[in-house]
Amino acid sequence: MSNPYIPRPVKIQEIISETWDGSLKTFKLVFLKQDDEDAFRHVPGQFAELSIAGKGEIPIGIASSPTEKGYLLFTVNKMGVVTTYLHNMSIGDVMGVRGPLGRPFPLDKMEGKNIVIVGGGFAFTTLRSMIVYMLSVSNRSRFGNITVIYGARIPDMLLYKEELKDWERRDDIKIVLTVDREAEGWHGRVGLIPHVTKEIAPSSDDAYVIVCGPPIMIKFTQPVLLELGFTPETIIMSLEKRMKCGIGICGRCNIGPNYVCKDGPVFSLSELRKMPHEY
Amino acid sequence: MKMKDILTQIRKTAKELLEAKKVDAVIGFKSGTVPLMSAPTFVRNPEDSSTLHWDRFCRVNLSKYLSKRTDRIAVITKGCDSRSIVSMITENQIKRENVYIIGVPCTGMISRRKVVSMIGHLEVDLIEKNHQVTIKAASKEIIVDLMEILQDDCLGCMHRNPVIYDELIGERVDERAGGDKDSSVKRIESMSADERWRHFDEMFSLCILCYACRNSCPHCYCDQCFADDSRPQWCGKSINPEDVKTFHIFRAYHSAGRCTGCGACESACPMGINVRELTMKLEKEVKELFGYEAGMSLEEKPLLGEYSEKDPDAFLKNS
Amino acid sequence: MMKELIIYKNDIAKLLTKLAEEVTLIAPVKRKNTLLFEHVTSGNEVTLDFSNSTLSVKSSLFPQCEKMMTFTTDPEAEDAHIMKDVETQKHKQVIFGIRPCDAKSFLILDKVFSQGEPGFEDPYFSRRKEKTIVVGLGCNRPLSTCFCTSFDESGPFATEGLDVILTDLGDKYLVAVLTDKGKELLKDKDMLSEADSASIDKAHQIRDIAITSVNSNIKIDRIKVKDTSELFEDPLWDKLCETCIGCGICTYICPTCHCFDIQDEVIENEGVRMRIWDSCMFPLYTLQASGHNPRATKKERFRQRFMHKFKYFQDKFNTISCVGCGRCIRSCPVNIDIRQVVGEMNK
Repeated sequence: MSNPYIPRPVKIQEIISETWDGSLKTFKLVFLKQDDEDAFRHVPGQFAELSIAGKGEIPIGIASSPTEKGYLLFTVNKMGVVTTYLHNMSIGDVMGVRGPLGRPFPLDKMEGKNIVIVGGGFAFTTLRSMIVYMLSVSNRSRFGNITVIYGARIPDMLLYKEELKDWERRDDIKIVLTVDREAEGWHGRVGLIPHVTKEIAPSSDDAYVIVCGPPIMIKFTQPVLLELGFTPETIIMSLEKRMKCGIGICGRCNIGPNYVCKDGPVFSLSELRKMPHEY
Repeated sequence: MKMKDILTQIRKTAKELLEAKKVDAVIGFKSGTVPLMSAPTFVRNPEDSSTLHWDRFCRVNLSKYLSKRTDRIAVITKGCDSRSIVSMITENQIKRENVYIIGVPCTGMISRRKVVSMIGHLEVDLIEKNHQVTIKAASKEIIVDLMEILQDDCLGCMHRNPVIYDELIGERVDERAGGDKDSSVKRIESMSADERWRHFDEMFSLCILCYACRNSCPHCYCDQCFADDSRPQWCGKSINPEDVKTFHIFRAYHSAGRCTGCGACESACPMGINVRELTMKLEKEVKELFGYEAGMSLEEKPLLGEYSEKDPDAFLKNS
Repeated sequence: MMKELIIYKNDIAKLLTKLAEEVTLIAPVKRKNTLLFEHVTSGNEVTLDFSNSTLSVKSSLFPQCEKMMTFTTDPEAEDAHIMKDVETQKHKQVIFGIRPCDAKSFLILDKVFSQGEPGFEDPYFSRRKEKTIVVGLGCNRPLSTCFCTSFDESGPFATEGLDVILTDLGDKYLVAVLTDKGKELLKDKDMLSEADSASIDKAHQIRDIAITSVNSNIKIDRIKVKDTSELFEDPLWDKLCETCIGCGICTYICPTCHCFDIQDEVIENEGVRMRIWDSCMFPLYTLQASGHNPRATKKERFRQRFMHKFKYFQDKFNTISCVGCGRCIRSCPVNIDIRQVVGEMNK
């Protein structure tokens, strides 16, 4: 029997600072062994446990799309013991990755549909995976119109700034960026996500919407989406919880009978409504 | 006053307080569902006062339920419990005006562990008459003196009457139990360093680091205990013997000058460890060095929260 | 395939010593104020005169601290920071004298640890279980806190999860061999002889009396059909959790509680990643790095424990996560009685 707790060794190939203060960094990781790289087949929405020997593990959404070969991207916020240590690591350092874990975005259901993505703050990481996946040459035709509404508190906190610019230039994706408050040098939209979503009013016709962000953003955006005609089955969300094993055994991340690490982290609103309100 | 008279009075007092809406709840004891155990209970309706109970199994220090409360609460309080309440008030865990202290002079609580160990059975009945206790199990019966089965802390208790109360049930009893409070400490003090190491190694080898001792202590009310800190991590979470001992030693020191000797920690331990040995020693030291006993008066500040020029400083080089 | 044998009490120590030579033997030992199941090397250390151990026997399959992998952080080492698996259970182990409730708990733990899907199986538990043989001791005198008969096919002489079961007949034990593993274990042990029909009859009598003497029970028929969210939001939890002090003893001594934490520890350059028992009753359990805690107060944690054992686990695995051993009732410092809590949930 293979041991699902053993992380596969990876090396840090690149570190990109997403914000000027370095509190958010994207790590490009490559597997040391080809076998491990071949075996890692993820779907957008999944996460992996990043392991640092001697410090511990953290569950982080996979920011890279499965169409990006040869490396994995993870965007990590500096928060606790492991993330702080990770932020101080250098290119060439060895660490571990365990995964892919969790239930991904329901691609099978979203096939042929229009896709709306609403993201706030640094919850945007797995949404990047989804967007890059959909925009790839082999996949673009499988989806209808793509609309992305993405906001952050201030312009500096927007992730993947270069890619956002690329996407803005494309005509097969509509991307709307917003920040909570006016900021020097920002000539784009200003407004909170729920308001902007209402303004943009993406069509719910034959569409799915993925919403990821801080609880307060979700709380106010959800009613807007329902008003626009999205149903609890077509509103897709991703939950966060303290995790350890990542494979539904240690018991920590349960909400009712479901384990966020195994039965989630992706849930539809209708599934969430059936679960005890404990997140 | 007889136990059953004390009980009648407790029920009457609770009912009156609740009827007059002087308090939102009364914390007391009810009959336990296991032998030799009375369970804490919250009574909120006057009619439920009849469920209150009082006997020699009311070991739990009910002041545990007081910290950070903002409602008005009455609590059944023994001598040691009352000192815990004083301590909690001086440490700002509860406001004096929010707690109605129903003081009950105590002549000792029975140790479940001692009884079970003597008769070798868990399911027992006890009958007390004139300080003689008949312990009955399925196929056995023994008669022992009450002193043999009281909790260690009760044997050496120096303050059997509550030091603070809004109402006192029954008459005051002799302040001291009469036993030597420091007997177990003296026994360990007379050991050589090696013998002490072996003693504590053996004692803590049974510890499963379940933290019941910490959680049953009214003075352990920190939102995050040092044992749960990760930055820095003071002691490991495994049952490595060094980490186990570190936890207990740190906790003992955090209790120094605050522990009132209620024995709740030792009573709670599922493995039967005499965790009180550490804090008993510190209680003795605190008395000798500072002439201080925790929780005796609302006028006193917490011992280690105050500096006085008279504090002993023999450990300083040129003092 | 039951085969029934007899062993006189005078010979038990000899049998145990013999077994201890062949396998890792785990048996009941009296230690100061408690009775525990421990590794023994001689039959003389063992006592079979007890009600039940303070701690459950789950540690023989799911130890409190378990090494999961090792690594080195030595910057000179070629394999620095690379995690290596460990050898979990070298030798066969026999658990002797376990009560039927505890043997059943192994089957419940099995559902959690061996989820039957590749990538989701716990190797450490499986490795131990594969090498474990379970010899039980039926309960002639259940305690007032026992409620094992509340569950289908369970009881003081139930055989679920056992390879052999002993019945105390006074001066001897009836030894009923239940599985091939049990047969293999007791083969060629000359202290055992064929059982006579009088002993077998006596054992049946003892069993029947024991079953009827379990006089407390719990019912979960209504809990099974209640809506999860409704039961979750029920105001009964406010009252039930009031006296709980969140100490976690219940989770540590419970045979079916299985939550664990994973921690890394490094001394100089040598490190281990290990798992250690954890408890849903502790606030740290669900505390997120951001400071948000979905179970911030005692009520939420208390509710989680009972909902998990009697509702979520039932929904997920079609069995409840409790065997009626009553340890939590006996050890709770404030006498919170699981039978009462479940009774309220089942109203």
